[in-house]
Amino acid sequence: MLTVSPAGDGLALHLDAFPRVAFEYTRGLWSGESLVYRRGGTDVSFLQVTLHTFPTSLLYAGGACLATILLGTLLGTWLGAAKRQHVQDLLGALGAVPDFVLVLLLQILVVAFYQSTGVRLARVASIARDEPALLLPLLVLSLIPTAYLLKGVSTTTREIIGRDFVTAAKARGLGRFQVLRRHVLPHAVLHGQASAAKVAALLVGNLFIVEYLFNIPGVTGVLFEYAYRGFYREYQPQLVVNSLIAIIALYAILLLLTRVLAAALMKVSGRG
Amino acid sequence: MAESPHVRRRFNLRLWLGVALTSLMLFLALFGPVLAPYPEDYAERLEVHQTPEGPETVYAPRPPSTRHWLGTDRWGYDMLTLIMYGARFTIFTAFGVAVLRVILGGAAGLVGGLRGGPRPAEGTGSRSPAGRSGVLSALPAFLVVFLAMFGINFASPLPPLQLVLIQAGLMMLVGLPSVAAVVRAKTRQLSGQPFVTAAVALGAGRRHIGRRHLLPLLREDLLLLVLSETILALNLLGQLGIFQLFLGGTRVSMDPIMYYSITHEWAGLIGQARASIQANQWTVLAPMGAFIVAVLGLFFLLRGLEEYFRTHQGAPSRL
Repeated sequence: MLTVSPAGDGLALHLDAFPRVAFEYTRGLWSGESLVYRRGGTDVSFLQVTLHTFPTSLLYAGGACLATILLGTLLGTWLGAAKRQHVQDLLGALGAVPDFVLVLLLQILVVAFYQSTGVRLARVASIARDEPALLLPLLVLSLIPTAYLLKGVSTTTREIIGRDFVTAAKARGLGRFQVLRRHVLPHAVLHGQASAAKVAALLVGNLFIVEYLFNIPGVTGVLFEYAYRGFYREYQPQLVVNSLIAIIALYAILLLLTRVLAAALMKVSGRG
Repeated sequence: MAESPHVRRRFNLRLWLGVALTSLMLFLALFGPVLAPYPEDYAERLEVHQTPEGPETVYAPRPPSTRHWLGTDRWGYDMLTLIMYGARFTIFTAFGVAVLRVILGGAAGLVGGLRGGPRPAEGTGSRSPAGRSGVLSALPAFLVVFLAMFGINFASPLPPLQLVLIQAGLMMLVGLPSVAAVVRAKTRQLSGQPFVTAAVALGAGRRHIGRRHLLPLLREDLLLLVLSETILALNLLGQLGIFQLFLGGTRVSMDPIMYYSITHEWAGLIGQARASIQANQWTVLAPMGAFIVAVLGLFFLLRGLEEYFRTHQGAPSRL
């Protein structure tokens, strides 16, 4: 899987690693070796670990996905129709701030608040299995995709509210809320559907950072924890391949979830 | 709304804020090492204070003071000095990566857009760029760079500058497809315009249309794209730093395992002080502050320029 490695002081590109790993992985799949990796001195079944890590990741990413689609679409429609653009500016600026910066800042704030007042606002990391950090990870995880979706949806909304059918609906006596619900929201949902792949990709990307910084035992953590053993020349390509497959599966489920949510929102608008 | 005259004359706060902050960053990147208050390798591991009860020894890290404006890190290095030395790596790498992405990706997108002909009139297009890339878009860019750089970046025998160039090249490559997709979509949209049809009818070739009719119109978009790609490149740099893949190489010490940035690039400074959320917070807050100022400066510049272009469009000279 490594494409570059130093041979003494020279640099070598190992493009042949890709077919080799693919071949060995497929062969190992037959014998079962590809589904096992080494942790400490023992062999661990990847499937068994994934049985715990996958639902954890799915819980966080799925929750954030739910929040993103609902907030992004509904709030985006509402804000896009608003006259002032300050809230979008604020959210846009927040969305431009990298996820890891947000995580560290929030952690520092919560710790500082605790140190000065003795009140614990939220858990800054998961330490024990039965006491997971929930609030902060979900907040950070959904913030950037939400800001992204909200920007797109509010731009769409601003364009839609200038169309003739909005004037027609108003002329028929529909109130502002009803016009937004019946005539603008469907377009916002369509925009949301079109950005589903991007939103899911953003969520998966952020999941790496969030799981790592909050110490959440999810699918991405396994990849990094044991890929690091490459440093001790114990690099395990089958682990990376397995993790990537798990991550792509997660991505697919998130994509499906966005579709379901979009369909539900269509129902809300009375067009489903 | 945007067309009314009093909006046009409105003071563009975002633009000026963006220009000011971005200039400050460029200034730091150019002259940081010259202006830094201490030499790069100067460290104060301990300080002796005279108190009424006798001499008192204090150890690094020290909190911000008049002597060290941003405090010192755990080895006694002045944070402000480190940030000023690291600025050129952070700023120029992010900017260079963005410019190359836009030049190469833009060229590919322009050619691809011209080949494909105009976009179909009914708008099904919003779906294509993100949707078509399929499962590969599930893998975040930093993961690709991380897995590729992983074998050479830790305790590397290679010189830092070479590692910087390799990493910048990889960062550039992972961003090319999205830039190309954006420019391709925009090119298709423009090729449907009447003036292109007219040019084709008059016998203009693809190259001529691309250079004389489309490129001038794409110029503003490309400039904005450079800015947003710089933000993305900074973000990528930071994400890699969080996973201890520091630009220019990661030095590793054993017992305890610790990672140090060789170039003092900002994401590296953040990454190496990441554990300081409970104590000595300034060691992580200082480089993070610099990072945030850089990102926000670029963001305001981007929004400000968008607004500028929007309000200065339309009503062209009729001569």
